[in-house]
Amino acid sequence: MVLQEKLVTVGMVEQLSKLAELELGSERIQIVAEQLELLLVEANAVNRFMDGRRTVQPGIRFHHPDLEEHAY
Amino acid sequence: MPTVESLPSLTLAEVGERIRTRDISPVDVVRGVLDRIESLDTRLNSFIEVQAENALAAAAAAEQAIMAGYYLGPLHGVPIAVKDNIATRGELTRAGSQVLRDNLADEDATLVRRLRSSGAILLGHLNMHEFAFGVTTNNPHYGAARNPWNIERSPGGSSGGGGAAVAARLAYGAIGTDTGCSVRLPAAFNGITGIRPSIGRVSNHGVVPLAWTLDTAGPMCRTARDCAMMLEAIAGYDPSDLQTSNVPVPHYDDDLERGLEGLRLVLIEGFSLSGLQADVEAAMRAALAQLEAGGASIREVPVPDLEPSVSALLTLDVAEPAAYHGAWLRERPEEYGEDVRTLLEAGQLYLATHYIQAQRYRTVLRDRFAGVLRDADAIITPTVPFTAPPVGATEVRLETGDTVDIITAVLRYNVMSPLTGMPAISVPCGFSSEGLPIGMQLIGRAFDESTVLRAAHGYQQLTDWHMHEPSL
Repeated sequence: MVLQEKLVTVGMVEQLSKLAELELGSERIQIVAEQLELLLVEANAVNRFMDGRRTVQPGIRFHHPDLEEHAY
Repeated sequence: MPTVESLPSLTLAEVGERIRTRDISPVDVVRGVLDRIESLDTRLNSFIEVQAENALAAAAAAEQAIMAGYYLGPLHGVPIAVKDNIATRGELTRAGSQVLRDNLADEDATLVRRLRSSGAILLGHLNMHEFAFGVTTNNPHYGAARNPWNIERSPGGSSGGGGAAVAARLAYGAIGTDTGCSVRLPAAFNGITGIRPSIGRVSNHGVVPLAWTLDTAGPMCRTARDCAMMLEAIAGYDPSDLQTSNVPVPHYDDDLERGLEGLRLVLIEGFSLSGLQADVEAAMRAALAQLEAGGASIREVPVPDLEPSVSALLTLDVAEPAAYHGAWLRERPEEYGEDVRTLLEAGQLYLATHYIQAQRYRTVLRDRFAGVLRDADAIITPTVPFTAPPVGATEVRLETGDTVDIITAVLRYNVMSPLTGMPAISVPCGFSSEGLPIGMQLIGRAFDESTVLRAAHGYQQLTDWHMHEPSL
């Protein structure tokens, strides 16, 4: 795992787990930590894929032959 | 002339035509579906609320208008229903939640206003996954909706009530909303036709959002023709929704009868037919043969860069709802169902960079699909790689032997359309050995709903999967 992913995944999930040990509502925090860990696997996969594709801008644009570009 | 008992078996187009010619009365049509809802929906739970009195009053008014010569078009007098996240004036619009249990709408959603202007009669609000944030319609507040082909199976979601109601002939059409899969998945699981229009084609004004940059409403009906009629009624620019487009709305019916001849369809190499449940693969291969026999050409093309598509959709489809729900989540988290609450709470913790990378990926995927569709008319995939799982299932076992989370599993073929903004339709293309419906998806160019509707209609002229009726 690269440093960036460690900072995000291990950092966030471990902090939540520590919080769960310390605070009331710890069961809830642990559930969220587990869910977050799964979601970050997905988010990091997109991160890795987009690394290096520096010219790609966010957002979707379509060209319609009869009209000016429609963007959203 | 059809008997009152047989009226619900007609398609939307058929019943509309008989109302136009005054063969049948809108009042009888509405009574027919209301009787059916009363006798069947205790088992299916497809509606959260039925507005029987309002529907009958609207039917009587429609009858009077038509008899006086004021005919509004093919939806006039036809009873339909909308998902519970779509506002109807003076009625509760709960989005399947407890959070919005007292949310009395002070105006119609734009799409509802347009349906009413077309003469359609609203039957009530349909069951859905809470806040449209899930794929099962296993709703903890209003009960699980069930699949009419087997009530132990899920109707899918999030517009599961619409899928079940239309399949069971409790409404001639429904409007669902689709953020990641929520019109097409229940269409496939329930054996009906459902179209997700291009983003910007249909106004979201008055629709409770899930993820702003992905959401769109779409029709769910028995046939592609019925979907075309409903789409034409609701589509078009809306000054109340800045995301809507001013691309002209065609008369979709004009293109339907052009048939399959000359249509250029493509399969994605190594993807469209891989990892499918055996029954789904067999149904897809048979459907491809029928499309070719009807005059369409089919070829395989490679489409790179698909790998992170489900991950990107999940990232957007958790981060955006987390932003929308932030205040409610802090103030009354206990009012959410467990699955939705957990996703929303976890979604608060994404980084901005995660979100932006996912939005940037959409540009990559859009370019790939636009490239393919420069030399083709539609891309074909199954809608879902498997048939409806049991009610309450949270995981599914794939053909590969892997057991995966149900959300990830159903998104495999569904994410392409919302990520790229392009329209996609799901059409019934067979049944499994267990008697469960199978859906085929056609993805088209942006704002070219006409072509996917034409392809779907052409296929439905050669097959009768869409005419099968569950025995309840």
